[in-house]
Amino acid sequence: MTEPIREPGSPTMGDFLEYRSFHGTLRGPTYAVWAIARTGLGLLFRRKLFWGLYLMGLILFFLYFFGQYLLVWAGSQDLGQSIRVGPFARIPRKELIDNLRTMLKMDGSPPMFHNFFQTQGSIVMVLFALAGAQLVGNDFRFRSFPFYFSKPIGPLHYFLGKGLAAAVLLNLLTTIPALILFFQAWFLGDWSWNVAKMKLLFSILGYGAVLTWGLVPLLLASASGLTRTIPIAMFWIFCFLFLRGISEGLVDRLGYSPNWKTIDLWNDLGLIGSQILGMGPEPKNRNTNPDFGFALGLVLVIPILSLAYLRLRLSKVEVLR
Amino acid sequence: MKALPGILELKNLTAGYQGKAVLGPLSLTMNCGTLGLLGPNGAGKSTFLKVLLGLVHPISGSGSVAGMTLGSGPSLRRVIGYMSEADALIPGMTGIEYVSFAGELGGLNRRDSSRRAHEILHVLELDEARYRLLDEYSTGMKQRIKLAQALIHDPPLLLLDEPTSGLDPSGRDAMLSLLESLHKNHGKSFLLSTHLMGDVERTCQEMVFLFGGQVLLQESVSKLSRTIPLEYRIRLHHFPPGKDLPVHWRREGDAFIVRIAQGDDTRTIWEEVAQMGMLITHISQRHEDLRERFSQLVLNSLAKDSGGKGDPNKVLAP
Repeated sequence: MTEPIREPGSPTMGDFLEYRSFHGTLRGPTYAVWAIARTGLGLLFRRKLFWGLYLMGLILFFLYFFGQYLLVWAGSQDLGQSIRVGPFARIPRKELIDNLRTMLKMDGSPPMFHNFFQTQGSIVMVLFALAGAQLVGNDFRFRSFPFYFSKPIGPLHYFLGKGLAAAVLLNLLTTIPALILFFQAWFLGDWSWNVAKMKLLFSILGYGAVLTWGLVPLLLASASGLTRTIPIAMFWIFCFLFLRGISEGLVDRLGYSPNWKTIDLWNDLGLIGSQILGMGPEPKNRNTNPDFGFALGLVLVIPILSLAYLRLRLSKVEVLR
Repeated sequence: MKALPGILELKNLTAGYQGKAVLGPLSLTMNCGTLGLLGPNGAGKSTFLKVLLGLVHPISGSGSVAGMTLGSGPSLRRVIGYMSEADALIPGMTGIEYVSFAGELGGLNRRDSSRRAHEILHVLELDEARYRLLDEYSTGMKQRIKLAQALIHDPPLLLLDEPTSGLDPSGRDAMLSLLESLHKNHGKSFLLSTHLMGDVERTCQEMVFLFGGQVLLQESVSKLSRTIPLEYRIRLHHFPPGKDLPVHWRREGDAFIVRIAQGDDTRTIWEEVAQMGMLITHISQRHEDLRERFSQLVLNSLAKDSGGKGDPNKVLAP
């Protein structure tokens, strides 16, 4: 016999006979951090745009990955003394490969990783500008906080979760592929393990940590303040394109002190990254970069200000109205 | 199943913002399991709920919720399920993801949370809609999913903020039936904050009237209802002008309001009218309900504080 169909919302619904109590143990709020991060990432990757951007990051990674492999492979092949380039020219094989390796910096050296972080960073910028609203902004816009803060978690867990999601997103595009490139270079090389290699490994992790520290709190703060995608994207364009243009104009064209370049946060992050990787500034930029101390100061201060702003924003959130 | 005794106990509690008290001092004990919280806007209902949720720390006094001390931080919310008045939904999520996520935030592991989310959505008859985006839910479905997320970690106390807001009569009836069943069959205690006296009369055993941050009245619903006299509105055929009325009669336009004592029935009215030699052409019960009782209380309080200004009828709906 078939059960009669009941309309949802009908008075007969209220029997609740099948409700079962929970007899397990509840876990601490720390576990909620990963749940928040995972859910945030899940919501992001539900949109095709993010897959598109992530794919772009992957293409750049594969450029390095196969480029590194190809150049090592080409160097090991007996291709004759010279290689024909175009209809007339022939270039000595060794010279060509060495030039390509030096020019493209696809040799597992610190400059390669610096370049890799910088190119991947540009995609991260675009990704962050679009992800801010989805990760944090919507919670402010659609007043989702009664949902979060009526649960046994505090604001710290909420922001750790959101920050973790942003950090995972960033490191999926930068640090993790950089580590893959590092191990690839190691396997393609002489398989020796020494202090220099260990140092490089930690430098890559350090560079990723600096980018995470420099960008994630700024993303959370800007998304909590501006909430919608377009204002957040404009803010990021202002920070990373407009301020860069201003600083270059002031220093390179008008001859102001190189310390004016401190206002270019992306340049500061790159400067700190190159120091971590044990590289000095490139010769062409040597006289136009700010003091390292200034850059470091800004990279320390901006996230702290961002976190203070987050605290302020959250204190004004009305959980109950 | 009976509710926990003393699920909510407050002793001389004052709370407010930046050291300024907007609530209390109030002392309250909730034993019965279902408490209606009534009061006009600005009465302190939201602050009261915030204190219970641990979002506002008491300035003075003490209290406990299901055995946990007030002000013990986020862990207090393990014993509370909160259904907000605002939608508080996360756009882009499906119903099952939302409730399951609520479970994980409440302390359940991912597997348990997912399993319970499916069970609760089935009980609330949202199983057909569980894979639909929350953005596509109707008002009634949103109210039910908010109840589901409050229940997922199986708290002993539910704080329900306007749970029937925006529902049509059948949806409202269904929601109230759910709440009644939750208490009767599963021993859940709940505190129902609402403007709707009818909701409280139907689902709560006890009610608290808050006004100006103070408890104006705490009484059991049945006891309060018993104190309300029965009144009937009658019309008589050709009532001669100037004729004397019995003392418990009063005139209202072309009709009369007759008050009878609790326990009496309409026979007394028929007898009185027969003695007067008149004929009744219309009779109907006039409900002086809890709303009027509360209005009277507010009016008295306003009269005491500010010379009787303010309209208590604006603060409560029937």
